[in-house]
Amino acid sequence: MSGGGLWSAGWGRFRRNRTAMAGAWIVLALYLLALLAPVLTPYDPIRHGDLPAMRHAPPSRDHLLGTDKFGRDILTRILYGARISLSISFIAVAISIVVGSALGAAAGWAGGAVDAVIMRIVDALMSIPRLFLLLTCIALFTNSLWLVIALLGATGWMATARLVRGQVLSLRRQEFVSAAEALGAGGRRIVWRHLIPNTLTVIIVAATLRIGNVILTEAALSFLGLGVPPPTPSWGQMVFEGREVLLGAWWVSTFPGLAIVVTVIGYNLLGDGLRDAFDPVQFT
Amino acid sequence: MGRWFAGRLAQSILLVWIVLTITFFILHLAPGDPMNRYFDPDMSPDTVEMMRRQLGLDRSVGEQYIRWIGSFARGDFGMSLRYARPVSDLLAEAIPNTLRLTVAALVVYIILGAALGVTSAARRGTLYDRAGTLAALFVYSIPTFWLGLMLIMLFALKLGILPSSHMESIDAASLSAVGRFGDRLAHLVLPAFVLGVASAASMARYMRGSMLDVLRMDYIRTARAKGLSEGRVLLKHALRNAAIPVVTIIGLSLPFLLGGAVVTERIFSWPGMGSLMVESIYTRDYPVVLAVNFVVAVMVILGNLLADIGYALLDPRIAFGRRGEEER
Amino acid sequence: MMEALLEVRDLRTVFDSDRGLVKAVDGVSFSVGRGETVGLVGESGCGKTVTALSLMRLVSDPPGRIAGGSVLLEGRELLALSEREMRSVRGNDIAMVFQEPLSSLNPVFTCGEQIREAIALHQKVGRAESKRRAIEMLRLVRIPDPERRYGSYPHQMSGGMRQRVMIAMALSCQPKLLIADEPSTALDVSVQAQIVELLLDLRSRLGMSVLLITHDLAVVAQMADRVVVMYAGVVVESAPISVLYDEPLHPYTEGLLASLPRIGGRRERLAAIPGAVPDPLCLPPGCRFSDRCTHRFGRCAEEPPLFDLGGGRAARCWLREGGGT
Repeated sequence: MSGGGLWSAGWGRFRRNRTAMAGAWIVLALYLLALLAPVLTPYDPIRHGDLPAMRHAPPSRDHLLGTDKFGRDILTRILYGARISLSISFIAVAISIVVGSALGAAAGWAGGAVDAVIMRIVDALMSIPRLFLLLTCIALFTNSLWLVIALLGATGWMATARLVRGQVLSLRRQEFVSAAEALGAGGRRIVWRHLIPNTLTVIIVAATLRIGNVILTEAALSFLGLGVPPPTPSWGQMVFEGREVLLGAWWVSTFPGLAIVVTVIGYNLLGDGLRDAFDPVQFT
Repeated sequence: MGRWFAGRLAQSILLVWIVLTITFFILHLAPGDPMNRYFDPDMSPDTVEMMRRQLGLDRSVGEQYIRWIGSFARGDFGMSLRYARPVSDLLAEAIPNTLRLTVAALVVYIILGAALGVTSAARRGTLYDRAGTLAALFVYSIPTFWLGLMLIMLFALKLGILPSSHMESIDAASLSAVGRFGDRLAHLVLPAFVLGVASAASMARYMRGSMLDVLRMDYIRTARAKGLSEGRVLLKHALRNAAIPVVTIIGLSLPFLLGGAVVTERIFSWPGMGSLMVESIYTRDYPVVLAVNFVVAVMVILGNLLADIGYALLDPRIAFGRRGEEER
Repeated sequence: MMEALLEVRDLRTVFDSDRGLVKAVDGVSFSVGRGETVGLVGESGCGKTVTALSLMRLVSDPPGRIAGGSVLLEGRELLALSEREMRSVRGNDIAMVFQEPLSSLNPVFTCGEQIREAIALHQKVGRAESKRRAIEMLRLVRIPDPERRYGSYPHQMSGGMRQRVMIAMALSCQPKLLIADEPSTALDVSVQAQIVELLLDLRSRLGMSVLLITHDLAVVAQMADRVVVMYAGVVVESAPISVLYDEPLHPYTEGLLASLPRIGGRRERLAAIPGAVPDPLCLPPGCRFSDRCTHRFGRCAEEPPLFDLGGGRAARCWLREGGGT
């Protein structure tokens, strides 16, 4: 069964799933908010506030979510921070997907020694907790925004590689044998036509769920001061800045954290929904 | 069974070796002279030259690699730049603390996750089930550091019923043995919960799925046909089977648990490997960074091996494999 | 005149599916007397297994539920019992042996433990005593070296032995009624005979009633006193064993018997019944068998009732209206 029928059946299932749609709306809203940040808020996210009195100000009509220790409006920083989180996670996951798919497909297709070597490397890398691996690399290279993105991408391709390899192997078993017999050289083309749609759905589902994960990881890095370098607003870093004033100015840590939670929930709902809609072969 | 174990062990050793090789690779890929990784920039050039020869950094990459593997295999990780003590000493202090925290988190998350998963499966489709799924998703999306801060804010600062940092109180030495134990336990509560709760959410999901699969099986119908109560059926017949695949999940959760320990230890000032790692990065104490990275990977590989052994032991079909005699 | 041990009247069991309501058991009535063996016969999908599960109230709810009728065990209405009361009936008064012994036994517990559990539960004895009785049961079903086999796991045994364990488990509390759902079908032919022989022996020794569910007419011939034939959720014929084989009264039964291969005699082609079992979601109007029946005529557009033809015989066919043959 090729392209068309698969997609529309899946979309129908997706639309009917309320939590999945909620996730989709959340993600969409986030992208919109991030995009329109300069329009939505008059404040500057980076410039320090002028009046000392405005430092650590509680939520008010002027500053809906309060201000931080430099008098900067928290809501503004959250909106600009959304740009960072959403773009970093997207690019990093894109890198992971590309690298992972390539290596996974190579492993599955070539088989033998190539497969064994790649998979052992995957196993070994997956044995190192991602945060540790990231930290080790960050320690050895100088920190910068692009380094963070590259490393996030470079440490996340393993799961995709396994997935794609699995798909290639199973498709090889089914289609290739019969197709090759029936059509000779043309069998290759059929495998491609079936391989890509099936694998694509699996990859997209995995990617969506991974984005949530990357956002959490990036936030943790920024929280530790080893992620996005200041003064660029990053949610994780904002939470860190508020840790000294937890009792007095609780809003400084709480709201950025909530932003992270909402974003990750959105992606998780979306990812789960996509999986239930397009890939219903798992636990129910 | 013995042969299988030997195979798995060999596989684990292979993985450790690959981890070492990759780390070596990264180290030498990084820009700058590897020399800088090991030395105080204030040292005199003569001392630098001498140490360079001593550490074998003047030899070829191949030789360095072999020395590297050799020393790590021996447990010799060099000297900490910051503390001027052997790195292995620092590790020896930090590892038990991290183990304490991780094991506690494991216990928390397995019990919470399993309880939620089993009860959700038993009440499939009800409000409890759906609420549980949503709650799990919510929890799964919370950043550990934020959860930690929020809980500290609530329980330690506002309510003052739990301590907010460290492994024990400052005046712990003056407490009785029981008092000290209780004090340590109190200090363990928040960090273990924070570290374990996200994994509990994912465990609940897997356990629920596994239980649902098992409850569909014929032998569950047989158990009911014998007149057993639903509780017995669930907890004795179903759970025992459902738990088997879940053991693998526990093994797979180790990287997440240890990774989460980095942030959790920072927040709660817990003197474990996570804290050590972060601190070493701030101070550019490279020998420690590399050593911690390696040890953590070994812990994960070891943990997975244990999980696999556990799996094999739990499932009689593997433990007492084809040895069983067949008679007609 | 035997007093009925089990009386089933107009039992209805349905399943809710997203394609509609499946009436798996649509008004089934029969009875089983003390010490009697009744064979419940029909092709797969006719509702016989669901009937058996309904008797024990083991139908998965959801999506299935018992929608009506009555099941009397020694005069006691089983469908009205609380779940707790029903649990003391299961395994105790009525026991069931399932078709697939490998999947019906819990793989992580020893065979002995699974038998012991039932004994300890219903007979309320301690661990040591229940273990002793379990070993006795293993001996009863002719498993060699029962003390050692007590500690064996299901996957360590052959199919025939596993079925013996299932039987031991079912009989461990001396039930009044044993329901055997295709007890030998999943086994090798040589083992099948052994199991049937075992069941015959146990039946005479323990004096219990048996409801034997199967599609295998040969097994029925060996074991049953009476036969109840089901088709598409209803009873289409019931008769004592001897007369059924000589003189079937329902076209479906005729077809079933005709399709049995016979050893010896002329070599003929096996006569299969043309057509297929109807989809329970869209049953043909009127008699359910009409679209495959060679004797179909006008009246068959209306579903016939089950005509009582005396002498323990009944048939759901317009041809038998008025007791005719």
